[in-house]
Amino acid sequence: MTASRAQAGVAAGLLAALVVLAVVGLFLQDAAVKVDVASALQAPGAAHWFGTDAQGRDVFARVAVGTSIALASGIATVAVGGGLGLLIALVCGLGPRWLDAVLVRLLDAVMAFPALLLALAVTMAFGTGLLTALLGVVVTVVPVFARTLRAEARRATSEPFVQAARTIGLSTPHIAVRHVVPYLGTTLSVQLAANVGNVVLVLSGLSFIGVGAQPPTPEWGAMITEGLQNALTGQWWIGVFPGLALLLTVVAVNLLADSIPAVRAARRARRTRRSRRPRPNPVAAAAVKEA
Amino acid sequence: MSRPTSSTSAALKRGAGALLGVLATLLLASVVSFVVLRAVPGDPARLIVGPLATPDVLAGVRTQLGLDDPLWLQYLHYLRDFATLQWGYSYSNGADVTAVIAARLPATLELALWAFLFAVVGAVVVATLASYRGGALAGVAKVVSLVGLGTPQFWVALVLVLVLGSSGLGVLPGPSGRLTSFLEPPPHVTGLYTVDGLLAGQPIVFSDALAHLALPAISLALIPGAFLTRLLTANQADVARAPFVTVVRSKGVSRWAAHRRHVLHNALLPSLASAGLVLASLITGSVLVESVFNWPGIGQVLVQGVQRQDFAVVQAFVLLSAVLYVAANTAADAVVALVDPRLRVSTR
Repeated sequence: MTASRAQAGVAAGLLAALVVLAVVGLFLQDAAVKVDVASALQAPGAAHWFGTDAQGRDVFARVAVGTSIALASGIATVAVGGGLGLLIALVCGLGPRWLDAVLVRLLDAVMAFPALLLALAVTMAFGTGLLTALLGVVVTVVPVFARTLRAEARRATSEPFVQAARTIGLSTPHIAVRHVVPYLGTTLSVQLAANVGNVVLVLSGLSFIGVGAQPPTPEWGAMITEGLQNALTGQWWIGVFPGLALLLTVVAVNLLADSIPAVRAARRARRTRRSRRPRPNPVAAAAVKEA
Repeated sequence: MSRPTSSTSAALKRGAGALLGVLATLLLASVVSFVVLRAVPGDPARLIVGPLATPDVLAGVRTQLGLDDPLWLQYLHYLRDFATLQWGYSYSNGADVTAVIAARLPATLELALWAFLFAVVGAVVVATLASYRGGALAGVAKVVSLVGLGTPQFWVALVLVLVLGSSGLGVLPGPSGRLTSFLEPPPHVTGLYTVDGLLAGQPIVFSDALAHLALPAISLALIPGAFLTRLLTANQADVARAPFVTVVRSKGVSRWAAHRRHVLHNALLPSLASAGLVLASLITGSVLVESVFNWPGIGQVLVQGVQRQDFAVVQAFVLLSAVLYVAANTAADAVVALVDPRLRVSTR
């Protein structure tokens, strides 16, 4: 349990550093695209911490702006995809059986495509760019959420608290929002965190291939593509730093996702222990008094 | 005697049901892919003939592609063409997509097979050591697999070239294809240079092909390897707690023998179920890694197709990847059901 808390701590520390970098990036947007041929291909040093690229742009500024792009697009994509997935899961879990069967088949069909390739096809169909790439990735994320949450939602319907809610005549949407969604909490939060990592990876992969963010944009994948051209002549810093930022981001998010269940279970255990000790349960006390 | 026959007929019925489910999934996947293809805002005929073509030519190409037919008919044609391996012609240079993919297949297959080998061997060794020795080793294995799952393969490829390749230590060749240029490819038997080199008795070709393979295969193996390591470690931890292991130990079998013979073997079988995921990560990885190493495989064709807005190439590849994924999953499920008697009992 302490190991998972330490893991959560490391993840949180890494993420905090990345958020700081992303905020710094917001102020470096001009520096990230400023071409200065005179100072092209400089090695990392005091003037340029991560060196400069073939057009003399500061690689540190570009990595920082890339961080804000990656975090913003990762969180936005997962929020939209997770929301849609949750909606579908609730419809599947609480709706009629036939609808559930149809939707599950459809979700399986979408999940049969490797995420990067489906995102690639969707992005190409709607024209290349960061926004269409986000759309493409959302399409791949929705079934992941829907499929895992649906199983949990189905299980919830056979739990006593949902049957009790039905018995006292609560409407299905009310049960879904007030009773089933909290039940899905742990799974949802794990999925949210785990998918941010995947989404950031797929997005940078799309940009690396050339369908995501287009060259002047300091997106990590696009920067690694540019870095490849200079790798064989010795300018390693152009491609290595953005990839390092990408790796740290995905690892931090995955560490966090991995530690969520244990940390949440520990917190719940602490809370029940605390609530059991001093305070008598008011409902039980009232019941005793009445008797 | 009547019991076994009824159970086999039940198994057949279940198998037929599963097969129908798989077919339904594949049909739906083809619908998804068709819808994405149709979602192209531009006119495919216009993309083929270019902006300067006359309306007559455009209309001709439209008729030739069947774009004037009703949608359902277009879908049926699409399905027929995919099933009969007529995957159309490249928008950019008119090449037969099926022929291009077939010609490039051996290179990708060779890379994927070696990557698979690296991933499985690495995962089995690391996971077994981690679950057998435990302690710090298990912690290290866990961190390594978590990091491995988060690595951008194309970046690892770049770093490997920088460190070990021609511009770094120079231990292994950099991005220069499948063989050193002065070597002739071995006589074509399987199309896999390492295998053909051995078959033809040319050890130099074998070692050169292997040296060229090493870096791309390692980059490709990283994610499936990390995934399998996690899975196998968890599986072995589960099996090691099972009562039968205690029984085996109490009969005087040494801890290592019990672990290798009983824990490891029982932990390997369930990981077959993730065959589809591993295959998918190899397909995706080949798209990302091949272009870094100038590897003449399908992944590189796809990336070039993307850059030329060549929908025919991309669509064929994308639907093909889904079919392969479903096929791998189905085959793995069937094998697990055949090999593992517990599943036969529990599903009844």
